[in-house]
Amino acid sequence: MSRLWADRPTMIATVLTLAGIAIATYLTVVHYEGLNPVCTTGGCEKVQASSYSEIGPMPVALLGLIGYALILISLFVPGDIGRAITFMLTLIGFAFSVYLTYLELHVIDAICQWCVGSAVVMTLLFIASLFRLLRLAGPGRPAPG
Amino acid sequence: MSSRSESKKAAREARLAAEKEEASKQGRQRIWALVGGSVLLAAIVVVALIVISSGGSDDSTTETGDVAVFDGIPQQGNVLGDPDAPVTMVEFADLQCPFCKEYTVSVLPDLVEKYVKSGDVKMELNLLTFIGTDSQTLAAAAYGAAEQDLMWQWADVAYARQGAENSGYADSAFIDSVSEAAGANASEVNDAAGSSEVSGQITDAADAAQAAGISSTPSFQIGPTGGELTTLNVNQLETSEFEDAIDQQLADAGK
Repeated sequence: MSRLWADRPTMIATVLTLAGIAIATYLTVVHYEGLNPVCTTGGCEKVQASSYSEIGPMPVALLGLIGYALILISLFVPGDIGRAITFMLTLIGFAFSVYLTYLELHVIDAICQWCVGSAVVMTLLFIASLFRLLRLAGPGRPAPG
Repeated sequence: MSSRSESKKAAREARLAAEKEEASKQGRQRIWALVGGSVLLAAIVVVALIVISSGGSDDSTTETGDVAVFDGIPQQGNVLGDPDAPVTMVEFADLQCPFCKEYTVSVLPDLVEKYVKSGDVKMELNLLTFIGTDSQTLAAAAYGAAEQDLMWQWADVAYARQGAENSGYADSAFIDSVSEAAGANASEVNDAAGSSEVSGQITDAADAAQAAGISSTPSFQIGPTGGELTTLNVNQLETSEFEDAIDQQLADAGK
């Protein structure tokens, strides 16, 4: 645990993941309770009503919550395998966030502040996880066991 | 002797350095292999998610909906059912909204069979256009069909053929085909859709939604006919949620 917190990118990634879990939890609760999310951009209801707010039977918010939970678990997996898993999960999250933001801007034509917040968190998480992984590959740094 | 020892030491250090370099090189290669593998796996997952997310819009242009459910029920404008029914239920919907479609396909037929055909409930359909331009086109045509007292059939077919949001699917060919499947005169629907009466009805629906504090679809209000309507809160769009609320209203009305 102390080694984990001594690693600054891991510490930052953990905090970001907790922020992502908070956003995704809120949106999942709002979805299942049929509530309107608190919204200052005026487009949250439109995004929520969109067919893109669900993937098959699963709300995108719940998918995001599961993704953030997996990222959090992967942060505690030791060694380069754990770092590679975190990198892969955040890359999936980042690429899917880019796709969802494209949909908001060009298809649904509305911006949801919570979705933007999650996309920003996921982008920062991707950068942190990339940094964690590439630090191991730096010159003269053998990978830890 | 000393020079031989130093030479042995130098050779040992060189060997250790070479081994360390080799281990470091292998470590780097392993990391890059992990990066490559991760990117490949991530690409597969993301493509799958995008395909599932954008899929499901199979060709539904020949769907006819379940218009038979409205057979024999009086209809006037946007109102379905006996005008003197003791309970009124108002629906706010957007014809591009997938959850409105889900309600219309899964819940509405049961409610119509149980409460509207018996004359206990009349239903009013208010169409909103907040999703986009296709919503505007669809709502105008649906209110146009209301002039022929076929709005509920028109909406039913439009939901059955619902396309991808704001894709421009609600073109004139689509509108005409829905009108025909709903049993309406397509030309008259188009004429009415462009009228000031219909644009006024769309504005009235938006005003009514705003007055009721409604900002998402589908949303519902229920109450005694001619009396004060209250918001009908539904979480999962299940038939039982509507039945409980309607039964309560009917009990209040002494039925």
